[in-house]
Amino acid sequence: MPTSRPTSTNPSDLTSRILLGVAALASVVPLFCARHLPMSDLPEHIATMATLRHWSDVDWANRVYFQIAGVGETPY
Amino acid sequence: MAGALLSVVTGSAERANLFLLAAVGLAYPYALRSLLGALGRDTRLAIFGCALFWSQNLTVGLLNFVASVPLVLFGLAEVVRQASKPTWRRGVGLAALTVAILYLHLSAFALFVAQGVVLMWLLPTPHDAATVRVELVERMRSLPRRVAWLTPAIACLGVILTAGRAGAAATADDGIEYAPRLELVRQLPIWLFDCFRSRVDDILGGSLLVVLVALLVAAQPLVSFAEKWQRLCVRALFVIATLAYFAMPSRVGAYALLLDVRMTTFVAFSAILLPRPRGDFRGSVPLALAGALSLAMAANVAHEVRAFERDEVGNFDDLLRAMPRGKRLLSLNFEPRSMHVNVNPFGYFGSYYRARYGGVASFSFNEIPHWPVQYRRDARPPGQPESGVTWGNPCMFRNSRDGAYFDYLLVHAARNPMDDAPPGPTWERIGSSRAFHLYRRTDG
Repeated sequence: MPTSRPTSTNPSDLTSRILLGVAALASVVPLFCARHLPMSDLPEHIATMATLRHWSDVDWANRVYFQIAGVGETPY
Repeated sequence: MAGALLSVVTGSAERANLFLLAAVGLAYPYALRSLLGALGRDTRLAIFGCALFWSQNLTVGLLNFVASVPLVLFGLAEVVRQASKPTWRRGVGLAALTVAILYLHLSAFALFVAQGVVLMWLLPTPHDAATVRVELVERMRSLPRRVAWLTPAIACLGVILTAGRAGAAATADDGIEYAPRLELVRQLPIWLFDCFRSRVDDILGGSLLVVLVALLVAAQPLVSFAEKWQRLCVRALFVIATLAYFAMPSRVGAYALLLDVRMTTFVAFSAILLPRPRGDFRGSVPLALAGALSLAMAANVAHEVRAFERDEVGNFDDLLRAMPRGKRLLSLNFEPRSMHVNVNPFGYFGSYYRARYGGVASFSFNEIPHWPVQYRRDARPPGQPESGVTWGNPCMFRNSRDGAYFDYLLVHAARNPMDDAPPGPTWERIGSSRAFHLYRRTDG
């Protein structure tokens, strides 16, 4: 294994860890910048989750319109 | 299903989805860091992983695949550790991880298996150059036993192939298409970095590539046999990911699409494993630059996301609130182009109604036979082919045939498609937001 790799005890490793943490957090900040994100299929995924979440909610009428597929069905 | 369960805690599917997406996004660089550490590479390279979250895989909304990426990286890190110091506990964990990857996406699973098996063969590092051949031959014999953690996933795959696969089986379209290889070369940076119409993301992504190349050029010299073997392992991962990218069809059947371009993410992650940054400024300066570029990319994405909502969504919530719960909404997206995003973000916007208020929001993935939630046979909206999917094509709508089923129309276009008074129910506009216009059926 290489010996020049920064270790957890040296300052450059601490700096790189902090930079990584900041950059990682920054990369997910845009998710919280808008209520409606510009992603084509996203509403479909959310709607499916909501349908399952409110499966027994009469007002949502999910059981009127939908059925849940078997475990053999996969997303492809 | 995980999202639905999480929404019980978060209070809404939208918040649950946001939580999951954020967790996945955070996992990108840390899963990469785990793999870098396991392979004995410089963990500072994980900074490149932050920029790969916002690719076209995300803006298209290939969420299962996006979520599979950090699992594959973390899984490979565990494979490396298992190859060097096998334990029962890690083997069980790897088995569970592999099943999870399988159910997230078959493409990611196939790549993970290929890369994982090769790593199990190549690692641990042979004692010295003289014994390489003997050791590799010996390991080939014991390989089936060493990859026994694959067994549960392969059993699940068997179940899927025999009992499931309705998506592929329920359509007459069983064609397989490949994109021209040169086109795939061109698509590599586009799919990774060109999410928005502005040139900013292209320039930042290109700059990040330049930094990676600079780190490759100014790499540490290899000294020991172990270092050279380590380089062989990461090169093997890169070659497998690249081959998978070029060998993958672009389409299989009617429903499995964009199979090739989505693999760009794995090519990029494998490429990040290649450099061996120096310990001095020749390593630290490019890495600091990569960090700065990652932050700039995140800032640009935040700017674009806000601009999208401001300029193209507006008070969309008010439109949804105008409809009672449990109604039937049809979206007609005649204007798929966005001012800000390179993909069509409006195709399924009507599904926000179903996500918040239930009912039906067509067109929908519920038309797809292998989607986990499907229409009941007696409640399926009219006008949809028995086998095959509309993919939200608004031209599939016939007011005389389909109009009576729906209570509301959500039109995304500059003009009203009902201006020509087509035969069938009549509609009145009850609200607008940007290019979205909501119509209510007026004849009962």
